[in-house]
Amino acid sequence: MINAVRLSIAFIQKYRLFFCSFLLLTSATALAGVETFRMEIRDHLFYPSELQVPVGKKVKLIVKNTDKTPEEFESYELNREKVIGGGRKAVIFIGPLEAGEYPFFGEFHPKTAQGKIIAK
Amino acid sequence: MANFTLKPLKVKLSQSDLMLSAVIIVLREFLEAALITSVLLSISRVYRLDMRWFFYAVCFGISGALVYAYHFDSVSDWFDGVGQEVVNAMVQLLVVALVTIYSVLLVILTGSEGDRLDNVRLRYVQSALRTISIIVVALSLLREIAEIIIYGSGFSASLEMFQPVLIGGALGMGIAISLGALIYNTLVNLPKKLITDISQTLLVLIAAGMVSQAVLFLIQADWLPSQLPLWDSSSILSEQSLLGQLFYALIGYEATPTALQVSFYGVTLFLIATAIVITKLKQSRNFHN
Repeated sequence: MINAVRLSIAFIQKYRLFFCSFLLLTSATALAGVETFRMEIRDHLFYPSELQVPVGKKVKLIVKNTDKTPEEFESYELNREKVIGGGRKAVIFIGPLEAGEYPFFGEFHPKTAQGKIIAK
Repeated sequence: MANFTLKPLKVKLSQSDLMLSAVIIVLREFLEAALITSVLLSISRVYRLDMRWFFYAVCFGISGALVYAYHFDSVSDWFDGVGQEVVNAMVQLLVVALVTIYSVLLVILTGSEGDRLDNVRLRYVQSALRTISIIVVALSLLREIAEIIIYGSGFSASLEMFQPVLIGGALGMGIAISLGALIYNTLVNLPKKLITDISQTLLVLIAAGMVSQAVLFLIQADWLPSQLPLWDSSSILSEQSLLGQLFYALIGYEATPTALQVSFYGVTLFLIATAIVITKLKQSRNFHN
């Protein structure tokens, strides 16, 4: 057990340059600014129901739920799901997306709340 | 309705629409919890562990869910608005760690040394297995039930809407419990050795799926980097299909996973499988000495 820990530490130290660059590269995107888009839930509907975002970039989506009851923003294509309480707003990061249409829906009111993200 | 106003964009929800949505939502939530619960229950049954842990797990799960649902809005605001994702991810990872320990303990219990474990050690292992079962099932139930409470609370204003949601929810829960019972009964009627192997495999897969889920939550929260998906297998098996949902609950199937998710999934499989294999090897070495 102790030997396994020693071996892992030795491994990390041997390839420390690789690990450092990996961490730097993956965190570099955090330094860049992220475009923000806003959406609203009103009367169990999404406004706007179609939102255009840039292709290949991570974007920040702020969804404000002006209803009194909670809604869940969910999308299989985007792989995102988040419960947004009544009167609250939520931050959801989306992308990077290839060009195309990505439908989403409000899971708590699937028959009414629907929309799509269009990556262009 | 007292006032009739014309709102062209509004769609009137029928009661059956509400009920059907409720069935699907509650079923999906309970599916994962039902799966891991039935696996842990079947192991307890086969190895004659005291199964009362299940009762405690349900109690803790429900009470924890009430607390979590009550504080949900403030928790969501933690960490700059991504508290929900972070808490869910941490809970998943905790469950994964516990399942790993459980798998190792199970090997110890069932290994060649199992019959020769002295009473004290045996009690320790059994008690640890039961405790882990309580925590794992309680945490799984907590997340799902909290979301269902939040979902249901949105319809509590009018009885006309709440009734179909309540009935649909009960139906969905019933279906999930039936599926769990089916898995349980299938497992416990198999030969002992087969049950252990299948359960271990299922636990490892479930754990890997949970890690993938946790990684996805952290990507959503921008705590982990996001990438383009590695592949798109939705034409082969759609996440939205019934089979896709089952596979999601079972092995964490994703139609469009990112490289990060896939790597973490693979690493988890590898680590837990290694832990099991190492424990088995140590066992046989002790046995032969």
